[in-house]
Amino acid sequence: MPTPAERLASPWNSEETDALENATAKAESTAGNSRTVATALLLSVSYYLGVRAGFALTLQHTPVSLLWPTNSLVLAALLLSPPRRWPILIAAILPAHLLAELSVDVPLSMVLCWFVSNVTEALIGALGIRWTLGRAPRFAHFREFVMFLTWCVVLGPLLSSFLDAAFVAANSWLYVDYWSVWRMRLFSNALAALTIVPPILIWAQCGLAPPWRQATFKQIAEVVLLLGGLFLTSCVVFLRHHPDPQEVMLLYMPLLFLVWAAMRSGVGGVSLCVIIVASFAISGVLQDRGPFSAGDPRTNALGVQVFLIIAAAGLMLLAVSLAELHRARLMAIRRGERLHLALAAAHMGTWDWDIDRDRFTWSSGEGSSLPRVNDDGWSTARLLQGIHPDDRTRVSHALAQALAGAQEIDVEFRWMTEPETHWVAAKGTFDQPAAVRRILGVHMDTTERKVQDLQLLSQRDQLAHLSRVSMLGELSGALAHELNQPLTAIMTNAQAAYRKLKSASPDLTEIEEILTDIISEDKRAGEVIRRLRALFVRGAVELRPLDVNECIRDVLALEHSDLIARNVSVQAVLAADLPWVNADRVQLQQVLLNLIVNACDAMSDNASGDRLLQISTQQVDRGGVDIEICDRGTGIANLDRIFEPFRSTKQHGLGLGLAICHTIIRTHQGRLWATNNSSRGATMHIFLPAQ
Amino acid sequence: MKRPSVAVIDDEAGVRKGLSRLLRSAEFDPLTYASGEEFLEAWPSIHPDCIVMDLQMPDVSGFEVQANLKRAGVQLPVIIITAHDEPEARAKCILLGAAAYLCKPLDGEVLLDAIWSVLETAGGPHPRAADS
Repeated sequence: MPTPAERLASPWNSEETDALENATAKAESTAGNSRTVATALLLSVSYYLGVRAGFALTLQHTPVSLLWPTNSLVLAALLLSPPRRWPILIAAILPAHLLAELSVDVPLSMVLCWFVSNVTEALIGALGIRWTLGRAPRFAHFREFVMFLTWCVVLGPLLSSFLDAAFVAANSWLYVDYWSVWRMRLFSNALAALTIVPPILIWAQCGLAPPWRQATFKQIAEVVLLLGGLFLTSCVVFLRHHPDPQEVMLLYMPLLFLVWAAMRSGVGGVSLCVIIVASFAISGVLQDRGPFSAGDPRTNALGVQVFLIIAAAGLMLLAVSLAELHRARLMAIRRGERLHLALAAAHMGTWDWDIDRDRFTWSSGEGSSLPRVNDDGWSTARLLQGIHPDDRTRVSHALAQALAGAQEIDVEFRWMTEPETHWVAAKGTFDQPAAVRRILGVHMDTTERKVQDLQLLSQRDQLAHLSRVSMLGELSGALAHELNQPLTAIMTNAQAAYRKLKSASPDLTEIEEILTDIISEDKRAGEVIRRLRALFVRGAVELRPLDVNECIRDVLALEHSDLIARNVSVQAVLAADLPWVNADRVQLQQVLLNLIVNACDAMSDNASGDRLLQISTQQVDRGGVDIEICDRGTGIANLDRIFEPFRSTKQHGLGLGLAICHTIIRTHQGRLWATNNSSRGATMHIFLPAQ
Repeated sequence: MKRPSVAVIDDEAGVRKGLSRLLRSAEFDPLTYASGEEFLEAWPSIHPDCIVMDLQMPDVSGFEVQANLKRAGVQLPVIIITAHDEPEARAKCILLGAAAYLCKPLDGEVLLDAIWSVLETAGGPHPRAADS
């Protein structure tokens, strides 16, 4: 046999696993068999004692007891055992049944018939419960108790009583009439099922540990008072000799304690108390005492049985309902605690708007930027006073929209708290269904996130600006060329005019033309400088209506000399009547410039006559503008990664240009993507939504 | 006396116009062309005494015009005017036979001096005589 260390060192093999599983199953089977044997023995003994008790509770000259415990004991045993063990249990009670019944000189045929009817009653109840609930009831839910009442208290005794009465009639054993026997047996077994089965099931499933070990002094005192009061009142009510018929109202006295037990002790406690009351009541009937001693014995028996059944069933239903309510309340409290914990961890709170009263209330825990509010709440007007003036309209609009269309509220606003302002995000939805019109929601302080967003935005703008500035080096040649041309024209024209003025007969008309051209060239130079200045100015993003075609023409003009220097020819197909877009001119020009420069770089290894840059614009069906910049380079290797930052194919490139372009276009609610052409080269696509 | 003709090749209309006026005021006969291709097409039928040419032009650059003239064995003074002051471009132009390399923005008098100088070197009349 390997040692534990050897077991750990060596890998598991299937033989060892099988052996272990077999040993475990065998051990479990042995334990189960032991439990079954123990249950069968216990049932057998308690069955015998139950028969003896039942006989003691039988009225004279009648074949039926006031309360017959044995069927309820068998029913409880079947409910607590798996169906495969039922035959063993039923077989176990037969000797006890025979011993108990034959000892009081009941004929064997009647004994066997009663065995059949008793087992039938237990089986009806057990099978019905198995079918509807699948397991023994725990009396924790209303439905469970109703099923128990249906199968175990009503149907089981009802149907088996037909059989039992027939057996009694067939054997002529203390036979009175069929329906009397049927009725007496029905109520006797129904009462037994109602009073005996629940406590057995509850104690079997919850354990038999004495509850007083965990009870407080107050709880023990309450139980003592309850039981003491029950005993006393039951004694007074049910054991009085020759009670006055008008004293029937005394029946309410034990009911008071039974109701107390239902409210405080649950089904188990009510069952125990009902057993106590039933014991006194039945004793009274047997001794011809109490309020159920006025008529003949059978009528008295029926009276006490009906009283006890109605009281027990009603109070147990009350106890189950209260237990369910209590559980629901506890669950709600726990859910509320968990919610509160989650909200506190997320620095969130809840808010509530009573629409009809126009009252806002909210929770403001630790770290909340909203002030504390009492139960009276704040009106909408007062709430808006606390909101930043620039956000009031938006918040009012959100509230009005929610009211008009029963929509959700989702709004972010600034709450003015001295000395700083906090950002608050609020979401809410209608409370449905509700008698009162209200909106419930959660709020969260988003100041930190907003600050981070603003910082990110600022950093992005800085990066975009640096990217534009870094392009200055690439455009230096183009800049020089663009400015030198008009300056050359100005200089040569001016010198020509100077010469002509110095001549003998200067042509003033021509000199006027020269001066006109000088002015025009000067303006042209100024326009170049203005365009460059606009491109490199660092300012806030301004979205304005923009003609994309005009923007492209400006960029091509800026790049004109560079394109010539690189021997790149441009084919621009710009759609007429293109819708305007909302865009920042500087940022869009930056993107176009970047893409055009990239396209030229892609074709730098092409032959001179093979460098064609195609730019086109068109309106798209989904309401926007498509811009395409197509080159004849070698295409793009990793299309899905070109917009990642710090990825560059250029020797001295930072790898930020396309990433910044992508961000800029996304900020404009557009899209930037690239495709490789089927023939050669690549195309950059820009989509911008129309204004 | 016949005025010397100067071919001005530049894709910028404003520069061509300004140079044309300057040259005419200096008693030259300017012949203007908007591209190297246009000049080469007109070449067989024109006889300029000097060429003033931009370097960076679309389609046919100044380098290509120079190369064409050199292949054709044309011994004509070429003055390059360009906005790009790059040593490599300057060296290349000199190798191709350029007589002068001037940077924009251009001082017209410097250009005129350069033209007069190259014409004198080529054995032509010095129009400065008409200036003084």
